[in-house]
Amino acid sequence: MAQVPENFVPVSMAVVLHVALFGSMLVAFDWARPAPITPMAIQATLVTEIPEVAPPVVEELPKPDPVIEEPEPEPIIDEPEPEPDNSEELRLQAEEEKRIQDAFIEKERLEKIRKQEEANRIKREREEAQRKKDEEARKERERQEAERKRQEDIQRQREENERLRKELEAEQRQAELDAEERRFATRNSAAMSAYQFAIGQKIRRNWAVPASANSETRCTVLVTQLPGGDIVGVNIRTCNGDDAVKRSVEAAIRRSSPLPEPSDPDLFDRNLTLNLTLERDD
Amino acid sequence: MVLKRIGFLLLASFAMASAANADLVIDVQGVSQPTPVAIVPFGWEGDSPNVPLDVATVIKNDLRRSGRFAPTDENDMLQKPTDGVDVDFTDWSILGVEAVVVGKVIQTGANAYTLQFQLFDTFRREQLVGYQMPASRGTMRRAAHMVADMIYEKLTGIKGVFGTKVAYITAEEQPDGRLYSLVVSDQDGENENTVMESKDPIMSPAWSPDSRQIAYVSFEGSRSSIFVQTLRSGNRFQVSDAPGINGAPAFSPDGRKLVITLGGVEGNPDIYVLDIRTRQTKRLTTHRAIDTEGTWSPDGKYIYFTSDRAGGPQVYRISADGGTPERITFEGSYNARPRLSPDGTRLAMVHNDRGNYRIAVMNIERRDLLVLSTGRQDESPSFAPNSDSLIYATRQGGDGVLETVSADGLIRQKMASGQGDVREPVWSPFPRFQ
Repeated sequence: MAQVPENFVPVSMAVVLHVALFGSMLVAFDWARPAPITPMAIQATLVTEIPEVAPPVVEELPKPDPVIEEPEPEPIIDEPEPEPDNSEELRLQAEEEKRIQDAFIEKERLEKIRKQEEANRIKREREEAQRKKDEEARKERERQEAERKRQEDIQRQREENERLRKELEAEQRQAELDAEERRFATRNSAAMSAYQFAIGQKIRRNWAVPASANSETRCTVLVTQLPGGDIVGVNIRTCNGDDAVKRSVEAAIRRSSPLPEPSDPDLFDRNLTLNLTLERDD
Repeated sequence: MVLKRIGFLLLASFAMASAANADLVIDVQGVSQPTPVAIVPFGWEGDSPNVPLDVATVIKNDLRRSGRFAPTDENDMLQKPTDGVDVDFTDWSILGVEAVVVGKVIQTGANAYTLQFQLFDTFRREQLVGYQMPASRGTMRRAAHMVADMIYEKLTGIKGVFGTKVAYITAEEQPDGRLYSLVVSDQDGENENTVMESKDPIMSPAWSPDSRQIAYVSFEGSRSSIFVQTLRSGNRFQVSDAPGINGAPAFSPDGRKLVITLGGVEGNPDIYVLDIRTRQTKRLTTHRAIDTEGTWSPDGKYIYFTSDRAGGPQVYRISADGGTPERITFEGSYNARPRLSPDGTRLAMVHNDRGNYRIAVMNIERRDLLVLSTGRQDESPSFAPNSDSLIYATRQGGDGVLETVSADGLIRQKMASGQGDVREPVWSPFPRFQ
């Protein structure tokens, strides 16, 4: 039994050393890595780095394996037992043999324990490596999963944005159409007729048609007004009358400033097109 | 769904397109109405306090009487500039005045003046016309009418007739019987001049194309004869004293011939053309009905006249070289005394309008008749040389008076002129300045 601690200590120390070595390597990598990592990528990058470094460590593990594969001294135990001779001698011899055998058994037992422990250690280490490997694989999967999710999120966000943009556009277009439709509708309303009539009447009242105008006379004038009816632009687009007709048309419009205001502000239009002709006698 | 969408887009683009054009379309049907103008009292720069003529008032009355202008009352004027540089356009445009006339009379000698005027468009803020012209006390009024003519032409687009004259016949009761006069006055009734007077009737005055002579029918010696009289000298010569009726002279456009009515011994009036220089006549109509009141078309191709060959009097025309007459008027039972507008587009006549004799104008191309006067016995229509208005005689309290009416019938004005019974007005051609 005195040999046990002697054997146990070096084995234990070897185990501790290995563990410490691996541990320190892991810790060292942990320390070394964070610096260049950008905050956004912490999760993903960190997890990615470990497997790249760790596998060589795991690969080193098989090296002690040959120890485990050493041929066991088992055949010794299977030697045939010596036959007893005489009593004392035989007894002594037997005792001696028994002692040797015991020692051998003990040695063998210790050896077995050692081997068992060695096997356990290797197994543990293997398990540990596998666990780490699994852990890393899991982390990698998680990382990939996270990345996939992130990409999905981005895609979803993009799609959502696109959808919102389209919705907004459609809404705006609809609003424009509605406004146009409303203008269209109001334009055909009685209020619109009244507005047009009021403007037409005011200009008509102020238009001193010159003698040179006749039933063929036709002038189209673009008039720009401000809300409130103040005329800011008079542009004779076409006019088949002479200078006197053109002057009279322009004066009539200028004299009519400000133009009447509509009952509904929706009816207001900055740009007016005036078609001026002579009232027909018939 | 797709179709609906396309339709939707089409509608949208249509709506946008229509929105892109100037939007609100307003139709204005103008009516003839007076143009607001301001004739600012003219300045006077001379050696006496008395200006020879109130030029602004002459111009103002001309424009107002034309019916096409509404001159601003002097009391409403916010400023009275006499020079263009002093015109404040804002002051005038807030009054709604479309055009402003400023000017002055400057004395340059004992009886020598310069009449200066400028016409401004108050909204465009620009000068439309401006002139200086020499004048004497005797020609000042005429110069003022010329200014009015220039303003009128600028603002209405047609020539003014304020510088033209009118000839007419008056009959005045006197203790020793009636006195007939052939009178020429300015078209506003001012400046009356008796060209000829007689105890015997005078009828049918007619202007020569150069407005220097007047032809007329005189019954002096108790028989009708046709004279041509030069206005400036007063000299006259008889051009026709054929047996029977000598009547209704009218000058040809070249002034060399007269169309006249001769009755002959058998008393059947027909249309003849008389060469003024040679006194030779050419008979154009031979119908046994009455053919009279001939007048030339401005292009000289036709002679229009009155004939009752179809029963009642109607207007016909015949080639100036002769031929077959063509009936022109068909509307109503009585259309007589034709006169063509100087632009040749319209025919004025006396028309029986539901029992009333009124002045009517027919568009020769469209043949539509427009009754212009409102009296019961209106007579003798005569176009102004710008074809835009007519003068005629109407009855008022038993006497004849003169009226003018625009060719569209919208503006009618009485003309204060003559003593007693005034008849047969004829508007002069445009004066020719050589």
